[in-house]
Amino acid sequence: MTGAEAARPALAVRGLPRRIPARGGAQAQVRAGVVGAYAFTAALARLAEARASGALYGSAGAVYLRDGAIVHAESPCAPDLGVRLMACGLLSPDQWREAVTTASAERGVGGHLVDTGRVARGELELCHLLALFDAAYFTLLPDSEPDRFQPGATSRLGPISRAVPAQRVAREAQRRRAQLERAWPWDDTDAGPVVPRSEGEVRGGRARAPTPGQLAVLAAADGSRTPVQIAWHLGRSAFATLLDVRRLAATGRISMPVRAQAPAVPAPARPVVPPVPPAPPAPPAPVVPPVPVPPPPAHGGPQPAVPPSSDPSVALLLRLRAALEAHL
Amino acid sequence: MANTETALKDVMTSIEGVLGVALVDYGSGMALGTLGGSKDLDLTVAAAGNTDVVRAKMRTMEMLNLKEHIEDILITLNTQIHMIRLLTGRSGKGLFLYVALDKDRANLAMARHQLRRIEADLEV
Repeated sequence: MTGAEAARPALAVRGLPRRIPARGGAQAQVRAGVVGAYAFTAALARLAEARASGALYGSAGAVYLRDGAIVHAESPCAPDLGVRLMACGLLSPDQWREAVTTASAERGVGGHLVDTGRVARGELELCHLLALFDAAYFTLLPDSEPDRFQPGATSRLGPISRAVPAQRVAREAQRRRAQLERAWPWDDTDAGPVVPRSEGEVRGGRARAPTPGQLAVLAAADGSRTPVQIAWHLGRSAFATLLDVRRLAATGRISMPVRAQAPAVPAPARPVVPPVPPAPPAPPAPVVPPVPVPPPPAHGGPQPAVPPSSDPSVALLLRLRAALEAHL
Repeated sequence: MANTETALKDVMTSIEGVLGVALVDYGSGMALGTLGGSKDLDLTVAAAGNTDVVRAKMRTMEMLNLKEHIEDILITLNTQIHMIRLLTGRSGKGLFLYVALDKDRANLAMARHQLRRIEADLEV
């Protein structure tokens, strides 16, 4: 597999960890015959058809299945349930840590939080479903490859939301990719640092005022944080942040990363507390601590013919075209 | 204490004249849950489309420097009323309930009242 690894295409979203380290001894059961684009999605579809239960680990995250339906997903790019609950003020980091360490295997972290009255079931479900789809978007990226399937593995979080059909998750990931493409068809902004432009540089700003979500992204952009890091910082959806960043790019409110000096993309921001360890006999958590810094990216996936240019006039024309297309 | 599924069922049963309901994440335009609907009313399409309505209103308020929150948005058609209610709870930020009502059968004031109650139940 080492030779194949060298030839692996770059991920569409640069800055994604190229793989989550494989855990010792297990067989790569899902890899056989699955290569090329959408390999993870194809492997997932097969497992769903076979009504499998367990965890499918891939190069950009993991998906947990029960009877072929998805009960949980996690990716180092998408803020997890704990970060979301802490960001909306429902839990303190200590309370989350306490839940993670004391929750029983049967009830899981989710059950423990509800039992102790820290979080209402509805709130927990909403946060979990949003985190699930967010993580699934990254895990199911076209270049994401399945690593292995571990039958019977469950998430330490325990059952939270109703299981979501794998097909629905795949369809949603597809819809999200199309949404990003419509907002701004280049992925240059996805992995590099978000650098807001000053008011003076933004032309016609009043007509395209940013939404509150975009303002939050701009406020969190310190010139070094990538969209994924901003998402972790704010505890909001990483996909929604990518989308906001692309919309900001389309309206010229952020600077385009200069292509020549591809930024050394730092690993996705780490959660404030240690990641949730999975229930025994599951192997170490799929959200692994220090994610290796991926090599400077090449462009993956279908690319528009003309890349953005560092020439301001050309960039302006491209933005203009994107804006016109958006209004058609 | 309700989960999302029972909250949606509650909307369908306690509000007169409901044609369909969806709980929508406006960061992505995805419907987290839907109930009702018909071949003439595709709720997932409605969810994605109405996300743009909410976003446009929020942007407009930003431009007008209105430091207010949207409680609900009403859209009146010939035979239907569409209601968008933004969730305000700490975990519900970024979500809205979308309800399509039959104009002849629905009582607008009652529908708004019930929706407010259901929203509160979801987060208590």
